[in-house]
Amino acid sequence: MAKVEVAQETAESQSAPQTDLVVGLPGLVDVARVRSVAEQWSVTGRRITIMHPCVPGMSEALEKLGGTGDVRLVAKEISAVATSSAPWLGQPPVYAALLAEAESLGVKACIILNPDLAAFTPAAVDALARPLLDGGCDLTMPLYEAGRFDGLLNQAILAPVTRSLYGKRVRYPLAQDFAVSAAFLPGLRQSISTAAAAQGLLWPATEAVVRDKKVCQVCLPVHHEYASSGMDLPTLLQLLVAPLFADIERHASLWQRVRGSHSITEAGGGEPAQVGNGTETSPDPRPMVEAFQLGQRNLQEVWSLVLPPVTLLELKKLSRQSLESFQMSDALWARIVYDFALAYRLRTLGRGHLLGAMAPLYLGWVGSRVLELQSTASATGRQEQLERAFEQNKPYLVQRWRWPDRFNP
Amino acid sequence: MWNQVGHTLSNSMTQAMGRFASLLPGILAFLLAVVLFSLIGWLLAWIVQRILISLRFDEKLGRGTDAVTEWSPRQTPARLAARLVFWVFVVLGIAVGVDAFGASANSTIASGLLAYLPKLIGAGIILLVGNIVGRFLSRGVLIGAVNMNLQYARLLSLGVKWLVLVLTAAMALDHLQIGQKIVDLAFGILFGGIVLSLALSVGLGSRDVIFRSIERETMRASGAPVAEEEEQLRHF
Repeated sequence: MAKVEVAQETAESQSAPQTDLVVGLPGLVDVARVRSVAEQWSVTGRRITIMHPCVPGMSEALEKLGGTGDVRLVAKEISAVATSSAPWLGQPPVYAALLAEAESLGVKACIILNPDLAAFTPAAVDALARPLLDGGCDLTMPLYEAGRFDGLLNQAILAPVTRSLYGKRVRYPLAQDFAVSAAFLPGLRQSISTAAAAQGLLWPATEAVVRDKKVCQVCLPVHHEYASSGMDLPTLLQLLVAPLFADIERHASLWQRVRGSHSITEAGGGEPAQVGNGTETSPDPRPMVEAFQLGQRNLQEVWSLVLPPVTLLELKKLSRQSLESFQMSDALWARIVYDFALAYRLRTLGRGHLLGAMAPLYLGWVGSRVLELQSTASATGRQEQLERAFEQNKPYLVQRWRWPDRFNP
Repeated sequence: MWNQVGHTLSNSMTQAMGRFASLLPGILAFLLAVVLFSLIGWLLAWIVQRILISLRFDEKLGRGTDAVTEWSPRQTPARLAARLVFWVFVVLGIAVGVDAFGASANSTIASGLLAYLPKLIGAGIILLVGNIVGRFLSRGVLIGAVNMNLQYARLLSLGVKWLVLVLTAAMALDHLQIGQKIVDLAFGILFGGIVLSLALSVGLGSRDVIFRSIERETMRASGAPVAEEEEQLRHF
């Protein structure tokens, strides 16, 4: 069994022994739990430094935990960790500090894990690190276990937009568990150290595409329970989708040149297991469809500032459909997302209002998806169709992005 | 007799033209001051914008400017600061011009108009700001109410808009000192009426929502399982 050493940040940099991997936990964690897991660490032959942030002034309290061995535990003072509005979402300044520390230690790879510690196991660390150490990858992204109705925002917007814009079929672009190779560490750290990037979220796969680095995906048998259930939908959209739109604006010169998409090397083999195997009860789509219809009745004036007349007409037709035949086409949804991304860039209306106005449309999509999946056990094939629709409609976004006033079908 | 009429007319015409001619230097001074200050303002605004852009002002302010961009979505903070500089100089120009006009004009009508001009400008600004605030708040309330599944979202939004507009109009009229008592009275009645009707419609319409909310809270407090549709869905 490996022993654990806990030391203060300043002492570390002076007498740091060689480390193969840094495992970064970018949030406030239960130190006792981290230590108990780290003590049972059984990754053979690797020297690992586990690093987690702590609020300023707390390092003294952590100092008294001590020892020596293959696995070391380092608490680093990062003030940004205390100011996070959503602690379950990693903050770029915290990532940047952890990556900088890993870089200074000269590690072979840095593994970032969600501070909820669901993936804080030797098996998960090994799965994430292996493609970097053996397969020549620069970034490993996870393929999580998920049910048909899990991660809907990821299915509806984050994954399809990332795939169509940046040409990489990353299933979870906003994953909180990923691994970065030594070669990609400086680039990723630099890209999230800018003032603009620090305000948003970290999209590791996008940064890898920007820097022409190789991305891999591995199955990670992990299920995170995010503390976002008490949050209302517009706030959630503001937290997750607004940074995506800001990122689209930041990389506009890149994605306009990308054509099509490429699959990503999937290490470890096989599709991730589906939670519930399609046996979980389907939610009632009626409230979502009704929320969409309510939006259609009341938000015409706001939507008309963002969406072109053709889309408004299609939405009107959709709102008149009965619940049984309610289905939002993939192309329509793709164009809606692209139009909102454009409106975010053009500041057509206040960004808080913009994301709020998008919520009923998103609920319409969710209702449509729930109705479709009620009789299907797996959502994988359907997701592929949706992502292809986003790719096919990319020229629409490019044209509107370049000539927002001229192109208004 | 016709000669006398002609003479009187000619005299009054000469006097009127003379008075108008005496105003001309003042008007010219007013225009000159406005144009000159506008030019200086434009130049300074351009310089301020350049400096702020080179200092990456927008990026550095970051999240702190969310409120600014919400109220004025099409403007970046740097451009807003530049515009502010420009308009400060325009207003300064108008003030200097008005002062120059007042110094050169000596008629009672002109001095009366001059004394009223700042109030007119003030009322105009009140109306403009009230309109912007009303539009912003009504849109925010509409979107918020739709996302809360309130069936009367549009009514609520209209109510808020008219509340702000009525308040603005009353303030503008008060500022202009027009029909003060009637305006106060009318405003009180109208404002109270809108608030009462909104309170009634929201109160009556939300009975079910409030009932469900209280029921859910009570069940949570007693530890009973709460059946929620949303819990079967995970957005993230």
